[in-house]
Amino acid sequence: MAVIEKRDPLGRPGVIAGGHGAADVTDKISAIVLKRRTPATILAAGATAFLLFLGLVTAISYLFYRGVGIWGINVPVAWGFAIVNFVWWIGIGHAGTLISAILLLLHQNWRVSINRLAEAMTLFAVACAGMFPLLHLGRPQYFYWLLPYPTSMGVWPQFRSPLVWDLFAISTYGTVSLIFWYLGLIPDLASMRDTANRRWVKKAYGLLSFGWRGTAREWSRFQRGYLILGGMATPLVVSVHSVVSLDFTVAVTPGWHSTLFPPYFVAGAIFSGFAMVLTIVIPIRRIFGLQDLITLRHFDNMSKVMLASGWIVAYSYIVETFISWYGANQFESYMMWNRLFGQYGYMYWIVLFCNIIAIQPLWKRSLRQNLVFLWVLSIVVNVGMWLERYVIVVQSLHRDFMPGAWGMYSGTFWDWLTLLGSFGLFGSLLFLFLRLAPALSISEARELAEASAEERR
Amino acid sequence: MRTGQVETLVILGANPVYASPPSAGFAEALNQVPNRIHLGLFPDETAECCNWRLPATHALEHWSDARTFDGSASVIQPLIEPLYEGRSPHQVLAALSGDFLASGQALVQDYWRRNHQGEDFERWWRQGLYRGVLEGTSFEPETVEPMAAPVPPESAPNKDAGIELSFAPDPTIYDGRFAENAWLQELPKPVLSLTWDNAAYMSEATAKRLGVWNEDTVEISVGDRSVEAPVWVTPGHADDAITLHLGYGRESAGEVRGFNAYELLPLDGGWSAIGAELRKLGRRWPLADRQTHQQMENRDLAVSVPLDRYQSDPSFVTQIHPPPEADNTLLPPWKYDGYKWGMAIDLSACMGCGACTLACQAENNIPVVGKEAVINNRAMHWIRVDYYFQGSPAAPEIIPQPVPCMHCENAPCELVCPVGATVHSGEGLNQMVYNRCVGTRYCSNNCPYKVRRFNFLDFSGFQPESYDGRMNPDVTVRRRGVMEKCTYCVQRIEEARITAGKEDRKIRDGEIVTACQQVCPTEAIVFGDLNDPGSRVSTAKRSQRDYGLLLELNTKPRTSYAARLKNRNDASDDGES
Repeated sequence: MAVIEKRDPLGRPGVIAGGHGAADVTDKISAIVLKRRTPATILAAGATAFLLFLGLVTAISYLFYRGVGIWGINVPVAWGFAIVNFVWWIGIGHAGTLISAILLLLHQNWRVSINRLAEAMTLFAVACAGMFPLLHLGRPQYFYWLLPYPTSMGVWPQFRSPLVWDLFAISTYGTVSLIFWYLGLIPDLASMRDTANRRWVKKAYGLLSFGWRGTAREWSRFQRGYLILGGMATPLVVSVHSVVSLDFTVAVTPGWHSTLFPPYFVAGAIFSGFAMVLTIVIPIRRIFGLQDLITLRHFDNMSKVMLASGWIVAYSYIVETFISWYGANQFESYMMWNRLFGQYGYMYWIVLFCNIIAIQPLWKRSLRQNLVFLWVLSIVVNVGMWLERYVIVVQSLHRDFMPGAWGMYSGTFWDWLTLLGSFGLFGSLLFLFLRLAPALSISEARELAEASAEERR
Repeated sequence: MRTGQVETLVILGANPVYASPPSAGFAEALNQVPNRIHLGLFPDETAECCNWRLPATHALEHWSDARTFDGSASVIQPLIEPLYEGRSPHQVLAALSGDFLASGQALVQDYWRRNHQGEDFERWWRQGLYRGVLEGTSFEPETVEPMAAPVPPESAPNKDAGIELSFAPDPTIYDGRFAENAWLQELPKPVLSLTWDNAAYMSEATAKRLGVWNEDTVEISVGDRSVEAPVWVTPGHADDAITLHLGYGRESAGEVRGFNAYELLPLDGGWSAIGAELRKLGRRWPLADRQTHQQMENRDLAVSVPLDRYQSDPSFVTQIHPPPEADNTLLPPWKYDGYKWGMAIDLSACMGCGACTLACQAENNIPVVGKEAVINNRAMHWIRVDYYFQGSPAAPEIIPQPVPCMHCENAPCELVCPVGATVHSGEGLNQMVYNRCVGTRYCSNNCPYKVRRFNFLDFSGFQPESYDGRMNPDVTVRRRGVMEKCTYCVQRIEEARITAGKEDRKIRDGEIVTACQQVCPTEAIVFGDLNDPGSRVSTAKRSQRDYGLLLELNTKPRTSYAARLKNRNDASDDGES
């Protein structure tokens, strides 16, 4: 199918390729679930993901059997892969809400084609992230002690601890993301119900769409509710990773104890979140032939967001390094020296390459629209952002105040299996989502298609 | 023995088959003896060569006696009945002379009855048991003339003569007799900080010259005898020499650990051998060192100054560690109406023996974690001894510093625990509530002193029943996934409180002695009530040498240190004061 490239007055590619009507869009998106055979590539990817997920189940089972000592953590480095993975996944879970909520409020209509995928990705990433703080507990069976519930002994969580704030921040974020995502799905699930042929499929989608009929009143309430949720989700985008960063900031440990962290972490989260959206959207667009709906304009815009947030991250690196010198605190300056040239120094240089140098080609428009380049770059950024968290968590801890207590850390087989397993969980959820729900927002894509049809008239 | 003149050989407790150079051929000679009888706690190498093995009693199970440094006799009294029907050496000797049923108590008592000069033996004996020392048994002091300084032997070999080996008993497991004691195996060897292994200790210069480094496996040979050993570079070691510790490489003491240095011990009874050769084998021999970094990185943690600096400026320590302003915290200060516990450690007195670490381990049911876990920085000791090397690697100043929990006034750990499992007590203790701990380990990350220890695995579980008697019933055994740390021996505080309560009085100064304080041979550790201005700990903290670690963090540590003063003899060239 020839893609008709529509460009706007600035010469940018259109948000949606021309020539599509409302029914057309519905068919195209719902067919992925209802009519078309699942492509072999997707099946293979789903199978791989599920295999990795089984690895996660194994790793967790063994963890519960033996304890967190199966990991590489020790004293001084009492947090390792689990926390690194947690922060990384939470970061990835930022793009979805940013795209859906903030861009919704800012009337950035290009978000439409990718918001559903990004929201789903957010949800699954938050699921992966939320798993780690529980798994990393020495006694995970008592995780609920962090919750303020009425106990007969009258004990409460210790509210000064950032870990308690964390729990609230993440559970709030998870809940709002879930509701936001599901609310957006309701009209589409109704479209699926209407398009489906088989009776039980119709029934299932009918149930899931809460009997949506598409009346004007429903639409008006839907849109109001969606905007309100968008407004609610917007501060969360900023708050979640800010609170996560407070886990580090509140501590006295050099390398953690820094007021820079909240904006630095939020920028990093958006940066890695967009990278992950690219990693997922590029192959899906190709496999399902969605070139008309997800256009080069999207990739161009996402690249720009990555470039901008990447520069905030770079600026944070610079400020962090500068302050560690300017602050004239011997522990801070040693930490920075050790970060650059110590035993984990090579990692920091890889981080600098992945997160700063590698994204600079995005200044060039042709590369912003070169999908092979973008896909490779998105992987590089994901690796870079994981390593950044590794450096922050591990390198800061391994040499803090007392040289007599310094040590080294490295992940064990079980650490790696748990990380790979979390990819498996993420991939499996994504596979199920692609298979069962409309991957793009049908209703919003229809609006866009109609708008662009009107423009043409 | 070889000529067959010995018919019966009784070995009381010793293990000569292991603890002698194998080339001396003791084992072969022993096998020539028809009746070989061994009395011992464990089936060791010698017992395996004997045709009679007698179970011995442990020192805690039998009556015996010993002499103190001034010759005063002390009677060893059993704490428990023998667990496995063992016999003490006294009983075995009595049996050999025909008295098969003698009780250990009667044997010891009879000896002293025979040797007692004065009146009323019963009274003297009972008093001796009560006090621990039998009165009037000390030796007459002898007057001695100081000798002229000994001239060092002309042993310094030139490089062509090969390497000089010197032998010494191991600092923790001695000649191998304690090889089965896991506490001693895991106790970091003073200064070296190694556990679970011995090594070929050599200086940095020698290691570089030989092209070897830490954990390289080397073959050391003298003549036709050789051993394989790991290298451990030791600052301050003499060049062109290697020290080997005896006691390792035992084959009848569980898993074989380290190497047997008796293989190279000279037959002439000397403690050194010249002309050793060393060959690198290209294999790694992982060693478990508790402390991987010995440089202080200009941090003035263990303050050590020459005596004249103290004399010219007694308040030098406040310049090195200026106390933070009193009120730079948003939180209201803690109030202590009753007791306010504190500890002071005198670095001038500390010699880094590590006895505190071991006493704490015994008192507080601290598990042993094994070599792999020590390598992975999971040793559980609540009070560790850091050894810092200052100055040139060839002749460094070695500063030991015991580090228990600081029981900070503004404790960073208390702030970050999400479930309130570590809290401040009304008497200033920073307490761990094991039951409440969920194991986030955030407290450990936020502890600038890194004194918290975590049960990464079930270190205390699955122990044989016979271990139960070893546990202190006053101290909780911690399960997997729980953080733990120094409590200032809170069980001893409570015991003293109960005693004082019954007598309706306050706890007296010195009534509470922490385990580390109790065993410190130089009395470097003092513990007591800071609200009592007359207590020994308050006096110690008023010293001008007193300082807190990392004061700039405003943690207000309750454990403080007295700076080390060194009165160095410039005429001596070995550097160590």
